[in-house]
Amino acid sequence: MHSSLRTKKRVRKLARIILTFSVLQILAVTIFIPFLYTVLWSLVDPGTGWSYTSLFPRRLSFYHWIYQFTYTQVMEGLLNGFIIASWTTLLTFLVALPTAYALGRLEIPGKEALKVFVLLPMVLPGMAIAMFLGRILFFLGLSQTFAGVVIGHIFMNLPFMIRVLAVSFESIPQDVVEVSAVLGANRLQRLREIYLPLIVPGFFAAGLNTFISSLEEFDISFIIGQPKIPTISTILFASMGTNFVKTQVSVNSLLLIIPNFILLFVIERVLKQDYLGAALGKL
Amino acid sequence: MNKKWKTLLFLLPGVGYIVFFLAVILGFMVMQSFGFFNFTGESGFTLEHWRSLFSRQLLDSLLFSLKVGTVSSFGSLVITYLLSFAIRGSYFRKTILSVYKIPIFIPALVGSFLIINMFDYSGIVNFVLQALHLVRGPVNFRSQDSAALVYLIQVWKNMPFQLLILYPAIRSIRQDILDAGRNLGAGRLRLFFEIVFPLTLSTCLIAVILVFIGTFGDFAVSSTAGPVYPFSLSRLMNYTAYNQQDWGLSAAIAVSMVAVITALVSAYTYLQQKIVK
Repeated sequence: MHSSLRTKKRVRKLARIILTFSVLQILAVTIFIPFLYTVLWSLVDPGTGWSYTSLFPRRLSFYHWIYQFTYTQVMEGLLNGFIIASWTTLLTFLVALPTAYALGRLEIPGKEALKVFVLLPMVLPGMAIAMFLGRILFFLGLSQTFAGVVIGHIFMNLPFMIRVLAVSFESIPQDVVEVSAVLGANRLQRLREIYLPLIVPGFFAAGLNTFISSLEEFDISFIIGQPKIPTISTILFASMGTNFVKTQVSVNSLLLIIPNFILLFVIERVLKQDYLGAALGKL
Repeated sequence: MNKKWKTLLFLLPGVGYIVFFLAVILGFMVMQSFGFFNFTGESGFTLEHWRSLFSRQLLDSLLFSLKVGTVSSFGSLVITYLLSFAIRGSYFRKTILSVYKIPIFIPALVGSFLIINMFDYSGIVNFVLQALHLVRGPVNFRSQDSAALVYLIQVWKNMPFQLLILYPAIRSIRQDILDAGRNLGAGRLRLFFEIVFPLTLSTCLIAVILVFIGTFGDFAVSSTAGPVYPFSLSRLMNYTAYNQQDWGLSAAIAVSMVAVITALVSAYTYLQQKIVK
């Protein structure tokens, strides 16, 4: 009896090890290999090439990286992307702040319906929004301008920003606010000393998310910004068209995701709470 | 100042921005689909665009987009459930989960290229197949009339998102409930359909609907990895407007897409309320 229990335990442990091993293997095949493979393709030496019967390229070089930065628009694209993303993040925050305060702390009839309503830009088809917003901006003379692209990006990012900041406002304990009022803090002081510091983590999470999604956004940048304001994603799309050159597309792809990885690393480090889950879990 | 007005003033910037642009965009879409604000010809009320919506090409595109949405959302769901159970009982749970978050933050275009890169003529999949002598020459996975890569890319991109929201729900099912089921003689399948699935149904619905909506309206992936025919609805809408200069028909397609999504979201809200009750 005793020994059979022990074998059972051992079998269970073995099963767990095998399970872990296979999950890790799936992980490697589906996540690591695609990235590794793209990095390798971006480093292929044009003189040597890379073809069947060699698992790895025989020579590596930075030729394609240097080529992309000297002869194409990628530098301009990177710069445009960062300018647009910075403005989008700042303005989205300013527009969302009062609304998030109202949704988080004030009593509003039909609040739940309103919270669902603000999510609408997230669910409508991106290309349809981009195309018809593009037409309106064209009439206003804002097509092919930074302002036009930023207006579009604010529209797409407001839902997430409002929802996350509303959760931050909601989670500030009422007694902290009341105590400060009793102690004689006026409105401005309460805003500066209590509300703003306490929503900083929420702002970080939503702000980084806005920054990233603006940086990689395709539909609006493509319809409204192209061709005057190229960003990395529109350059990438163009390079995946008829002139499909694998090495160049690899470089462009990596240029689009490297900033993402750096920012994501920051998110994981700076923020303890899983804000993405918290905000989406309350849909 | 009146308290009501103050609240309204606070709500105005965010809600106002969304209401204003939604109203203008949707209004413009609907008006154009009925022939107003025509850029290329005379403006005026017409049902022409709606009539020309009923064509073979459009039906094919609609079916294609619906198929992409369905296969992506339910395909990801099956993998999500299987993987959740695998992770539940394995070591390094946290590491595995955080690595699996990566595709969520990869733009669709890059995801599309990562998969194409693996599957084209000189890709690693063809390398392995040839090295193992399973095929004579490289296989053309990126065929002109197959949507296989689109499904693969969408599942790769969206499964992690479903895992992120479904795994916590699955983990929170107490082990003793599962043990009780097993003691009463339920097999794995019955355990899943009678305990796990009902308990996670509400989260599962969110996961499916969000992925469906995202992939149904997709432009980037089907443009770069999709078949030559049919186009996805978004691509057809874009093509009709910019290459054929038929903004009226394009607007009619856009309105139809919005209608499909609205219907889905309403159905979702209805179902969710029923589950809660």
